[in-house]
Amino acid sequence: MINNIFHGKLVRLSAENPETYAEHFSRWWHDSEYGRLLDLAPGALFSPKRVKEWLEKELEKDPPEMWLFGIRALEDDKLIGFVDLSGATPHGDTFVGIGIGERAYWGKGYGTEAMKLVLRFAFAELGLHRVSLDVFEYNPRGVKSYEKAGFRMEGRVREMILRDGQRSDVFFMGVLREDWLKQFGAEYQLESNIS
Amino acid sequence: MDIATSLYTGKLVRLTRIELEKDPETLAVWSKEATLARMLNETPARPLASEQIKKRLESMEKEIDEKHEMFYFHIRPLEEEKLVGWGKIYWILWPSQIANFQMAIGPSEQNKGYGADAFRLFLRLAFDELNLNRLSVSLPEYNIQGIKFVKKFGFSEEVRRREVIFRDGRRWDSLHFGLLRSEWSVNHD
Repeated sequence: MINNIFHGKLVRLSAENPETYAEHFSRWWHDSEYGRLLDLAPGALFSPKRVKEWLEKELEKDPPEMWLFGIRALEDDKLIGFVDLSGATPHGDTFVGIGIGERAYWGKGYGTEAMKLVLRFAFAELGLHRVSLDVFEYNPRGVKSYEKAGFRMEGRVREMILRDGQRSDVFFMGVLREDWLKQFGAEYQLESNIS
Repeated sequence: MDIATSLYTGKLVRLTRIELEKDPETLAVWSKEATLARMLNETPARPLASEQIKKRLESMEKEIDEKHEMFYFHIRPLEEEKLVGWGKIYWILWPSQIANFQMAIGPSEQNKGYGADAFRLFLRLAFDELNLNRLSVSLPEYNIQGIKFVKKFGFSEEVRRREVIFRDGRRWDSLHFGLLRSEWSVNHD
């Protein structure tokens, strides 16, 4: 049994007050590239107050509909992004969303490790059967990161995005618990019999 | 097809508004048979009383008004008032010109050609009136009839989400199909 399941080598998954999330989310969304990598819908630039009110309601729900974590870099304890699991079905499937808002931490493995930590939470703590995500064709860095964390390509939805006058596809990816255990079980000292 | 060709009237059926006083009873009868719900998606099937259905329809009408991202119709035969099915174009994302589609024909009304006729109306509505560029449908892999049906209209399989559904003691994949506007035009009636 391992207990410190929220800690990695580069980052940890944190709990934050709605106020802290709100200030950061609001600021990150003003970076349009961040918003366009994250969401199909156009970014509305909400005030921290609005984000805070929404989060306060969301985080009060018990059991949560959304498992939201902050991502903090271990070296300086800076809040650099978020990751969340939401829309879990009674069949043991959920969607994961992740964003690194602080550009200085892009492309250095912080997001990949946060994703690995949240997958461990999904499989070892929540007991889910699979985790799903979608990622945009123009985000190859995301695809590579998710593959490293254990995700496999499940298909391509054609022409789902129209931006800058160009249509792009959206990839769907998924990771099954049994595949994840084979790949990472030893690293996390998990018995493969938890499946 | 032009401005005089009705968007709502086909050869066998028509797309109509919700009748809040009568339709919930029919839908309640259908919900007693889990088949319809199980063929659509992974949401657990459950019987619903007509009062519950009425409330759901009311809140859906409110959502349609407020969010402008869904069109929902009740399908009726040309010369009859009875409800034979429903269909919706939903999760419309206007900037991307995309939407999802779902349709169901009542268990006692299937195999009469209503589904195909209604589907043609919905496709024309999606592409010629809403000006969408693509339509998505997702179906459980065990809905063989539904898969055949959407393929007949030109939809192609794009995504196979593995083992998303756990039913009757085993895991099933969820399939996503897509039809682009360019692919629809060639199948235009």
